[in-house]
Amino acid sequence: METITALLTDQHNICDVLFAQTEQAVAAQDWALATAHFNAFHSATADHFNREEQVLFPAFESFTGNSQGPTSVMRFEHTQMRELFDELKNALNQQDSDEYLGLSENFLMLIRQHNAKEEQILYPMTDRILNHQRAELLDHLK
Amino acid sequence: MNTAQLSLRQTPSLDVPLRFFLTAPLFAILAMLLWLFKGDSLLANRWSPDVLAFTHLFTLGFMLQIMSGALLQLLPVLFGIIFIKAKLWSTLIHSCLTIGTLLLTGGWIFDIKIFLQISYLFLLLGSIILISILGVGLFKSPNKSPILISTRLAFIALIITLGLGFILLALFAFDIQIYNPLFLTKLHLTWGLIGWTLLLVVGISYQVVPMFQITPIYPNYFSRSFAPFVFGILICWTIGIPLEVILVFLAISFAIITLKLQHKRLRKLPDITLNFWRFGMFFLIISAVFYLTGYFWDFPQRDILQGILFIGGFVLPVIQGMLYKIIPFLIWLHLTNAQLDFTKKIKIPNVKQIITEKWQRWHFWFFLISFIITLLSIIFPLYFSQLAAFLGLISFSLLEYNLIKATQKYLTVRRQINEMQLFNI
Repeated sequence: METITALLTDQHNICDVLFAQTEQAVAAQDWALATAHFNAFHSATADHFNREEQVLFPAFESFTGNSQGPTSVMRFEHTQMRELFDELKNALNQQDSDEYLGLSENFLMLIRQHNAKEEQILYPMTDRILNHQRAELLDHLK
Repeated sequence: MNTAQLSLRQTPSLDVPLRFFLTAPLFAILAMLLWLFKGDSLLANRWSPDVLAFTHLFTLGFMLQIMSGALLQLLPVLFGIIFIKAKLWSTLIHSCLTIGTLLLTGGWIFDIKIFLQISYLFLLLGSIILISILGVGLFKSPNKSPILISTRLAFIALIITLGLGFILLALFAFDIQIYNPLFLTKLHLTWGLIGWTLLLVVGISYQVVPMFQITPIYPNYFSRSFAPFVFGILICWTIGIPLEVILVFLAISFAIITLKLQHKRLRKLPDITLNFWRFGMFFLIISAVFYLTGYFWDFPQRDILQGILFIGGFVLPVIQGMLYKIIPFLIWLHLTNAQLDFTKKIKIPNVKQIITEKWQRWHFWFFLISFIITLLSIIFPLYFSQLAAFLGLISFSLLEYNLIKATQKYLTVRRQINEMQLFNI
């Protein structure tokens, strides 16, 4: 049976691939390709964040009755990453590869430790406590 | 359901890990100064007090400092393990380790017994606090991830290593006769290097190798079984069942799997951390193969060379590579968080501006060359010892320089943020 952990971890992996492709294109100073990859990367990540914030986190919060717990930390980190996306986009528009690659290193560390917390703690916990509504959640998270 | 344990935002204050990271290279620098001063005679006798001092400047002064700082930083961030009063405890652990290591190694080098006696107290106090803090954190968490399993077993090995260390130090400091000190020394260093160090590096690798370069994760069968296997073999070996050949192959398998994963990385950009890690994995293999040759090939400097291959070739590069990822990121994160609620923000340097790649590269190349000359110095001590020590001195000074520069950048931007804060309010 499909789990929330597996589905959302897959989404992380897809974003990772797009992230690396964008970086590669920026390093090669192929700006047209970089922009195309960046847009794909940005929209995949933004969609993933939105689905979590609109579907997963509210379900978690309504079950636990706590909106100040782990989900608030995850939302907070999403905000940090959205801000970084703006900076990355600026660097891309200015075709400043040094700035982009420096920022993307920040981004990678931030998102990988964020993902680790979700994959190791939050998702498995959600699978466990929201088992009864898993099918429905999975539909909305896809 | 306990959500309190998941108060994940609690990144410890920057000075908690940073004090350990900034102090550690100074001990490596002291070790190199000792070598520079003593020259080829330093490593001539495996059991001389100078060699003990040289070794402990690295294992206690460099490795344990950084590993303590890294665990106090990583466990809260990755597992929501919160250390209460982290600042107080880290100050105490750091001070006790620093003073204790200085006295211990100074006591050996200058043959001053009272130094050894006082060092005993400081190291004992520091160890007890470190073990209590880490122990509560590691075993309170219900998490059963391979990272934590490996780290927990490494931690038990640390307790064994330190315990044996204190028994042995009683011999030097208080002339207390102990049973078979040579055997206990062998246990002490094997539990320290394989049990504590290797298992910790392996556990942390499960997390950081995929994280830094976007590689596939370690195969499940491997990450679940490696640490328990190694730990079990160490216990067998301790009670006299000779299975250590298996250990050698396990260590090689870890290195090969890591190199393979890194080869499959999605991120193909140049990366100094990756250079350090590949260097480390390569010499872990060499070190393991060299161990095997001991069954048919013996020569006087064998033990020293084994130690240099394992510590200098594997542990030191891996640790240094990690520092270059962790420290710039932590600085960036703390600066970003410092101005979260402001509308007008100062531009924060990105991680590559905090420690520039150019300086990291210089450090890497000096480290590599100094290590090769160090190997030559074992074969031709008369010609290469001082050159090796001098190059090592430059290499660790470059590390310290890079870390100090990063800290200075943090303080400068932090000051700007504080000034800005006045106007925001």
